[in-house]
Amino acid sequence: MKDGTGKLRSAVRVVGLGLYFAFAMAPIVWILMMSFKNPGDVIATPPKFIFSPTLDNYKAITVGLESYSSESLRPDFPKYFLNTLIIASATVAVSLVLGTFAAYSLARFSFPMKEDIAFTFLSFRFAPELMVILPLYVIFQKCHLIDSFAGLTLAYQLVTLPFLIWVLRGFFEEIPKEIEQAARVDGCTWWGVFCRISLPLVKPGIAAVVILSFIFAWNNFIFAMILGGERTQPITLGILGFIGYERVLWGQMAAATIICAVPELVLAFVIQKYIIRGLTFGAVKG
Amino acid sequence: MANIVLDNVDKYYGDLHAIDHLQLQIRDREFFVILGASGAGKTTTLKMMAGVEPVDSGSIFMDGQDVTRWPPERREVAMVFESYALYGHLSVYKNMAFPLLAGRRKRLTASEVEQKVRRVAQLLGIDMLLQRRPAELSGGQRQRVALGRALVREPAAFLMDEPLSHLDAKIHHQMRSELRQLRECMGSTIVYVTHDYGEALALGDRIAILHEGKIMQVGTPGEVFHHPATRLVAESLGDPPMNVLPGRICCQDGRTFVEIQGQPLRVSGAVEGPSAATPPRQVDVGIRAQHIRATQAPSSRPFHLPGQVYVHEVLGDEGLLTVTVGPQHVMVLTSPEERFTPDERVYLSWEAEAMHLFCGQTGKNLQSHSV
Amino acid sequence: MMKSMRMPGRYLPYLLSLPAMLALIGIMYPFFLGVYYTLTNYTLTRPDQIEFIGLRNYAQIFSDWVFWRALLTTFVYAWAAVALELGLGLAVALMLNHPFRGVQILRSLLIVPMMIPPIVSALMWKVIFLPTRQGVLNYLLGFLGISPIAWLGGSYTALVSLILIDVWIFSPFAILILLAGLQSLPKEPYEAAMVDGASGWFVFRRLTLPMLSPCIVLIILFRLIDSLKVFDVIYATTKGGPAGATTTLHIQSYFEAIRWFKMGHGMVYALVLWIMCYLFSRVLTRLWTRALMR
Repeated sequence: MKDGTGKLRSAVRVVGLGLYFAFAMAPIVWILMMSFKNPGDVIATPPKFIFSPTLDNYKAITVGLESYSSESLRPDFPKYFLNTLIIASATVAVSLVLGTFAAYSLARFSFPMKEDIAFTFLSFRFAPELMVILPLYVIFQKCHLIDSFAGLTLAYQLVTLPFLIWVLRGFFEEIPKEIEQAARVDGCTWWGVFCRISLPLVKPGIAAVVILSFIFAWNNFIFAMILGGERTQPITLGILGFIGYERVLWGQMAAATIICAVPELVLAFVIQKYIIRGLTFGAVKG
Repeated sequence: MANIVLDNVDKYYGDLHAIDHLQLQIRDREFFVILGASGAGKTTTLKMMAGVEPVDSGSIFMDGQDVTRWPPERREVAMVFESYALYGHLSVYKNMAFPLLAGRRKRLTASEVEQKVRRVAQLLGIDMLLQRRPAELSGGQRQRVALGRALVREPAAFLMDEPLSHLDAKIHHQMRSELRQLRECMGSTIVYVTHDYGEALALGDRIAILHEGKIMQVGTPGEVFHHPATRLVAESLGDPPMNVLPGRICCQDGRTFVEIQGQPLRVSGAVEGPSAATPPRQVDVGIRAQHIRATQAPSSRPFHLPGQVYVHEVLGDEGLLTVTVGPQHVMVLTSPEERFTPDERVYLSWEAEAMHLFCGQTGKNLQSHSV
Repeated sequence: MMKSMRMPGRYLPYLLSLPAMLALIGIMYPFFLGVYYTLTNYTLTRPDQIEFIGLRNYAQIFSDWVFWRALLTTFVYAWAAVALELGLGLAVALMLNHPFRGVQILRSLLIVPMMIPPIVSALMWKVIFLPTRQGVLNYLLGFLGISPIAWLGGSYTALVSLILIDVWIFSPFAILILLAGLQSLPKEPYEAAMVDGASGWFVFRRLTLPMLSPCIVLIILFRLIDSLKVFDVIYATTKGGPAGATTTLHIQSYFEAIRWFKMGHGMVYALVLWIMCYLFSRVLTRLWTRALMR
């Protein structure tokens, strides 16, 4: 290949990637800037790129600020943040406990209707949420589960459990049977084998699934909107609260957006290796 | 220390009758070898003894106790898997310590565990590898770890599934002799499975030849080699494999003869079956390469089989001569000085005592001095 | 637990799966309840008066042009989003599949749009899409001589804007999968092609694309179905407007049930969408397993 083509290709690549990443990062940068603008600058016409930054927005949503006291909604934002944390963590924990055994069972044992059950589990990943949430709303009302952490955690299992079972089943199937047989001959009961051999060997799978399930629960909106309420409101709903009837508190909304995204971004950078593993599982090898 | 008895054990994989009415009696402290080709059912038999594969019908006894339904962790056996089955996420030390820490046996203190592991590791020459992971080891080293994991336990019986089959030729022989020495230290019953007849003959106190799930013969190495019960047994032992030629048995004047390609040879010893009253019968005549003499001129003996030289390979200490006799090839071991040219006419002869007669239909050895 | 251990317990698999089975029932029960509701006139304001009315809901809805427009909108949104995400994903993945300085950083940046809750991203874009020159997008376009567009206010532009948001959020998904696929491609076929003197485009069409087919099908599987049932993005920005231009089946289901309390109607919309998603998922999963086997 001639050097000219190589240089052309590089140039195309630089321009192409530059365009894409500008597209991808620009909105985030803009919102970031917005979060530091005071009300006057926030929706100035024309939009301001140069401004004097302020931390007022962040202060308003976290601790409440004097000058905003008449305008800012109650600074419940930290509470929303906590709610989201509780729900996401509980969801992941419950999925792990329920789903790991089912995944192992599907991987190791054969019993009638096994593949049908497996596919049914999987198929709910592809179901429109309202199909289940609307009737669930009725059921939850009768059981007084509306606006409860337990109720939401249970509802979230709808999505996280099938996913966990599908991924972990694949990982369990990868463990050579003979290793588990060796452990049994060495003296472990099936429970011992499960805890000391099988589980440690699927750690990467568990990591990937935990992270992705956590992200799902954190990002979720529709479940919380219909099945949640005042007490359990997570940040995805709280953020809508900045859009009032008369005015929109753009600056505070922007600050909330940033705070909303930060934990996941941190998570992403710290363990992105596992996220990519989890997402591409099945894509390449199958 | 245990004797193991398999009583009428059957196993099916779907429609395949993998193990067929297996009867085995393994004595305490015996080095018992199960020899068979791939797919004969050796690994399945071993896994049933370990408790890892369920038995479909029949029973397994250890030291008189019916352990057929016992889970593996309850039987006091150690197993070395063909694939080694090491715990990849644990260090070599932890792999070897695992059996001592797992399960419901009496708890050992940490120092006792360490003592046992180090002792075995030194014995096998892997004590400098204790902190490594299996992935970092070579095939030979992994095999020793697998062996070590079994040795730390001092179990009633050792079950070994082709432990040497994946090793390079050089290490293979070395490990074979090491195994023989280890055997003295182990002192337990050993059930050893292989497809390599050399290992079987070298290591076993007794050998069972397994073919398609059925036992063909059980005996000492000498017995199975010199007095094979069936043609299959004879063919699985020896390199080159025993030559088998079709022949007919007939009786004349109260003596039994076997006729090969028209050449009669008087049979020594009693032969089951034919008497003057019964008509000549199809047999397979087995004769090992080392018992055949090939000469360029017909010998003075009454029996010689004519043939044509196909190829003669001189391999160091001996020569391997392939002769075309009728439609088949016969292998003859020659001394390294003899010379043969292709297509040369040669005459094969052998002693009647060296010959084996197998029934043409059942393959059973027709001569009563077989066990 | 260790007393009479049969090997392995015949009931063990069922016991292990029990919690998940219960969860499964927990999923199936509301589902079938929902199907039942499609055949009733259940209204949330009068929860005690439920009448079985057979297929009347279906008749009403199928003869309402709102339904058909929602169906069309759902389809257009989904297929457009998938096509764009796939195309963009392939382009970017190809460009990222080279070792150069900073490629690691770029790869880390990729996940960012997906890390933000979709509803939050949609709100972000709502700000950017502000009509008149208030919105930063219009402001920047002004430099190119384009007059301000009411992005979320016009019927066609609203749908386009929403698709754009979807692409922004989810093209990293396609990029990551395609990148993984590209990096696991075997080298030998390409070396053979080089020796045979095949051109770049030919190699791409005949070698790369077919070998990437499992990845491509997987992307279509997930993105198509997720876009068919999209909710957050639309709710945050247009709530189905203007005048129903961006109303999909899922959105309409929400309105029928929650805004107008007509549970029966709402469930019909949800069920129709469910059937669509189910059929597509079956077809695409089969395509995927077949693509894998090649």
